[in-house]
Amino acid sequence: MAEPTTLLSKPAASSVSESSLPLVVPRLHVPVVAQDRLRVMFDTNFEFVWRSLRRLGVPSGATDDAAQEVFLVASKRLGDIQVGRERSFLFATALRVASNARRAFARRESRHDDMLDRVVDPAPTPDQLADRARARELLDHVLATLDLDLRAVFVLHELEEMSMADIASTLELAPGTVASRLRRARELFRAEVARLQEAT
Amino acid sequence: VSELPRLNNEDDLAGALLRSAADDAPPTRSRAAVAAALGVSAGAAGLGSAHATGAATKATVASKLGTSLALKVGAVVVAVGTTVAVHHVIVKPPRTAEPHAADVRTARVPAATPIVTIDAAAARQAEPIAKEPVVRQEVAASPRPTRAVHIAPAHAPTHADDAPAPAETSSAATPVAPSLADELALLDSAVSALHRHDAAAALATLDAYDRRFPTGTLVPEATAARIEATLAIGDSSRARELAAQFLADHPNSPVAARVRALVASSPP
Repeated sequence: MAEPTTLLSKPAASSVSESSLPLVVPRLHVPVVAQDRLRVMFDTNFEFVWRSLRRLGVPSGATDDAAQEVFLVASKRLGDIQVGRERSFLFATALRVASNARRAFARRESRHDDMLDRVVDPAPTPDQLADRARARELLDHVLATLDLDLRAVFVLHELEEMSMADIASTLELAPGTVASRLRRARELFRAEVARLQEAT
Repeated sequence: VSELPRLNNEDDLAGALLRSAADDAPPTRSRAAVAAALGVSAGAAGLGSAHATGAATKATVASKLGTSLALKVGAVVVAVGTTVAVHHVIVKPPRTAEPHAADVRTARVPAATPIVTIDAAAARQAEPIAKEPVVRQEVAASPRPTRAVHIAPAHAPTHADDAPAPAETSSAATPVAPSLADELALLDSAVSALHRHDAAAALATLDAYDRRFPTGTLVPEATAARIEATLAIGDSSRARELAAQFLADHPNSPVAARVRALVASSPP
């Protein structure tokens, strides 16, 4: 692999942004005010956490609460989150929260005949696709057909545009596992999109 | 592993759908509301200074240190390794930062007084690199012992004045909190029983968990706790059965390594 193998091995960034995590840092044991760290984690990662939750299937109306839950967990676990591993921790927590939220949402909707078919009639015309919101809705539908494990890898690669090595680091998976999950997720994604098109 | 071209560059329906996600972003008010709830609003002096609004209000209280539910979340996460990331936390000795010290037997020893070492030279060296408080806080390290945090019964808040009942934190507005909070509470109770060396109580609590959350988010963690409790009552053959079944069902679970270590450390 030509790219850095982990987030930790990237060169230090000059400023804090969504994509630049705190990187190579010696291990320190210095007491400070925890709230400062939480604030930095929040400022740096809130957008990432929020859109990850959305893309992992949390309904839009529940995303704020889900994001809050993720950071609430982080706030209580600060002392055990390694420096430089904040985003990994947050995403793993978001996966849990999303899994739970998806289940709760599915339960609530189960009294309807078929939530997905009701929300998305699978016959997009070019005009409809011109409507980005409609496309986004369809994307939700297609992503919902992926298991969360596959979906996580797919979302990080295709939407977050992370490298496979970064995904492996974030999810604490072997690179080969990331590659195989991505391959499988893409097959399923394409198959579902093809199914939508055939239904046109 | 070679990088693959991304599908969102493709000029087909798949590409179009993926590009539609480029707009995914929280509304401005979301950031403000969640920040307020967590007490990390810009200019906020600390936990108590936040002015919570909207849907996020409920966490303001919950975010205070010592709050019941939140503490439980933390405690249970520590205790059972809820997430992939946290898994490494649990299997390592609590106050070291080595990521892969996967000796569960070590981790099961209740943490002693936290070891706070101040490496001033390293601190000076690190400051310019990260340019943010994160660096200095590796040990924002709660001084509480990691594993033994929660001995109180699940529904007995230890700080009655600022601890909301779990039900409050899981209001009807959120589909997220209720069952997770309830799951955590039950699991926490089981793990606390384990810490008290009361394996029978732990098993009874885990039975209750299984009845209530047969498909719960924390089933793997509950299973790991059950295996530990089963070992504790001396039924290692049953524990091995459970472990074998668990590993067959969840070979890639974050908890799998812990389960393997548990049975490996048990007498034959």
